[in-house]
Amino acid sequence: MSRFLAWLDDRTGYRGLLHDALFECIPGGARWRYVWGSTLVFAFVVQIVTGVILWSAYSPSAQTAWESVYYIQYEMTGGWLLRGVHHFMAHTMVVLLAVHFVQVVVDGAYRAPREINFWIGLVMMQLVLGLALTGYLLPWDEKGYWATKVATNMMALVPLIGPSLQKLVVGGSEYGHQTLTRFFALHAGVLPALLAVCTMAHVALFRRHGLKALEPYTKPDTTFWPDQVLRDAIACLAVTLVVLALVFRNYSSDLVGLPPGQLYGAELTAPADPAENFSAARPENYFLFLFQLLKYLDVFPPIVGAILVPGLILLTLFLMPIVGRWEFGHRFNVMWTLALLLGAGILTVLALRADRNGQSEHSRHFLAAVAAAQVKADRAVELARSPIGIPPAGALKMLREDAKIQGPKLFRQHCASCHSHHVVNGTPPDPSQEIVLENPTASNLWGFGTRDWVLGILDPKKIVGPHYFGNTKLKEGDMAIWVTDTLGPDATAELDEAELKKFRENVKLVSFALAAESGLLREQHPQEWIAAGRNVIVEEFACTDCHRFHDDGELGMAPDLTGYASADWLRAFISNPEHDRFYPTTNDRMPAFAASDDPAAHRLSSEELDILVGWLRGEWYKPEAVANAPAANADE
Amino acid sequence: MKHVVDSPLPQPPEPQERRSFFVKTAAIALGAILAFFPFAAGLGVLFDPLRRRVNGVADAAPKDGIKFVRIGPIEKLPADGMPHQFVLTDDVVDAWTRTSAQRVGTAFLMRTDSADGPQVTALSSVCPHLGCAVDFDTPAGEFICPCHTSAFARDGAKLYGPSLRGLDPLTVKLVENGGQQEIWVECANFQAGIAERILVG
Repeated sequence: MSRFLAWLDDRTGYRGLLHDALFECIPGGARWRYVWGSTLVFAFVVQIVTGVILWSAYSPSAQTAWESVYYIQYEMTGGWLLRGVHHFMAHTMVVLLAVHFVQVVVDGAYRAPREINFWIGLVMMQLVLGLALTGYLLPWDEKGYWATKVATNMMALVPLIGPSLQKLVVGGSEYGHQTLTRFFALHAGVLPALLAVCTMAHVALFRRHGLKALEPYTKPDTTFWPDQVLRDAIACLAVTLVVLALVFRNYSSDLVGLPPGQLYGAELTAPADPAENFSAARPENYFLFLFQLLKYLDVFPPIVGAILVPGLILLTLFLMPIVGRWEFGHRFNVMWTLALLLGAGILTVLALRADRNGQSEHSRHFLAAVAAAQVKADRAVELARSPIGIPPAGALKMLREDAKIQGPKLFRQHCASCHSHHVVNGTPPDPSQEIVLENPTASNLWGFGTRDWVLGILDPKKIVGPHYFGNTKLKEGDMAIWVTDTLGPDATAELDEAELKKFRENVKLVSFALAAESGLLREQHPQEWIAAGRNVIVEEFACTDCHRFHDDGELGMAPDLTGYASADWLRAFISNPEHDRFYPTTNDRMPAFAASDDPAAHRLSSEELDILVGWLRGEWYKPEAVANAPAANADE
Repeated sequence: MKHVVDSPLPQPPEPQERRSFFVKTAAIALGAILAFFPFAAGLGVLFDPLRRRVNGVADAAPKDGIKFVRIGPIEKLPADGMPHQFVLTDDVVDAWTRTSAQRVGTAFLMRTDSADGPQVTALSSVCPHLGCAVDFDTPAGEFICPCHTSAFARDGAKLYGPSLRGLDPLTVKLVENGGQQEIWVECANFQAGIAERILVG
């Protein structure tokens, strides 16, 4: 062995190199304060290794970026750990950078002969921030997409070359495939290569100048190996533990069993959709001070806050070695650095408090947007993991066809100027599906066509209440009169006990029969109940005097009860409520959404109608077989 | 003014031997752990394909052991005993993408009719040598691989060339559907380059 090593040394001189590397002199002994540079090198190496492994699973294009990151985060073994380490190590690196910088300034390590190394360090700082910025976009989720849009728009403010620069970075005038391929080339190629070259130069110059030791020396001189190496290693271990703590920060024993990708590691919001507002857009925390600064500098043109002020601050940092020659220059530099850090810290706190105080209109809006983004992100993952899966056109298509996500939006846009959609008593199964109006002027469509709905409309009090016809002209219509006269207290007062029991039985049977018309899975009732109910509709209650119901009654006076609230019925009704099947003469104010022969003239497209109808019927993919659960009160 | 600090290394002080040994051991051990850390974080992702039989789906073996795909009504295949190439379509999960009715490959089907009814056999079009797609040379009446000139008889038996086995036969199933017979063919790949037939997915 020793002969081989001697041979190797003869050919390579590795012993000399190793000696140079390990036996660097440390005047005054090893100290904890010298560890920061090493922790940064360690963090960079971790980013390279984890980054290359992520690269092996990442696919940069507008239809595959989110999808491949989703696959890493939720499907690949330990993908959440890998992505979490890469993400939080990036955050940690920015913090370590700030600490290293402050130490260099406070110790005066920027002064002669170390000016050039200081400048290289500042360039490295920009490279690390560039890596953070480009990395933020790569998952192509809502958060990264909108935050990066702000950054590239700032780039366009640079005088003269700005717009061209923006176009080069974005790969065109709009965000798309080329934006991702270019950002990926920057993030995984150009910037790390430059950073690696700078790191080598930085360390080489550092070795040339020697350590800027803090005086007075309290201990005898020592060498890098082993005392300082051990301190550096312990510091790197601490960095690792901090990163792991961040990855596992959501750990809680009652959450075990959920997919780990949902709990641990870096966040993945819903796939980016250029056609949808994302009011929760914020830059990463370490850019929040710039974000807040822009808000305060609103009296100036945007270029001041976006380019000029950050540029000037950067310039003062570059000038530090020169300022430092002046008698009070060093003191000035130290004060200026601390002032900048304090200012950035205050701005960050202000930005966080403005968003998260929960009091102001702004904050409530932001927090609601964050909650909505969470619902959408969870839904995107739920669908991607479901048998529906991600289609070749990408996850965005999957989300855009999902009734649970799109239904409330369509309802708000087209229906919620009159209709509400919420549980009247009790807690809703999912608050994101509720639409509460202050002054609804039409019925509450929650559970339309279900037994509860039918029982409500047959209730003399409820039918004229705000959740049915109370706010419409149908309040005085024939149906309301019939329900009041035939089912109301005046009518039932004359019945004896047996008749009353029979009467209540009939109402119940009608509710079974009519609810079954909807074809909803949860309204599947025993055939004999349905048959009896149908009989009551035609015979005892004579609904068919006005309504059509299968082979009885005529169209033209009141809505068709055949297939009541079925998907086909709802579609036709929304398309044209004044059709013969529904309210040809007594329609209140409901517009026709798709009545014309020309599809281009429709207010709702065919796809939108399908989504809306599916949503009103509560028919969307649900992970558990909730939809198949038998009706809770079927045993009555 | 000379800024270069090129002083020779000072003589390191004599360390206390035992303390120095402890520090060295600890530094090496910690350093090894830290060097391994980023790789450890990525091991699961690197070796992830090993725990999947089919792309994207962990342990998704077909329940009945053989996966059949539909070719169509039996009339599509002439009863001339000659190999006819058909496209196999299947629902595919490729990592994150789910595609239905995707063209996944081809197979050669042969039909002969006898008193017992139609007989259909099928051969994979993947050369068992190294996975090129074989062609059927009609004048010669044999399968030829365009890559390394392996040749196979009409029944798939190896004739000459570097392949260690004949073409892989695929199980065929004739299914009665609405009074019509339909051809279903096994969709399978076998490990190339060896004499045995081992299913790989």
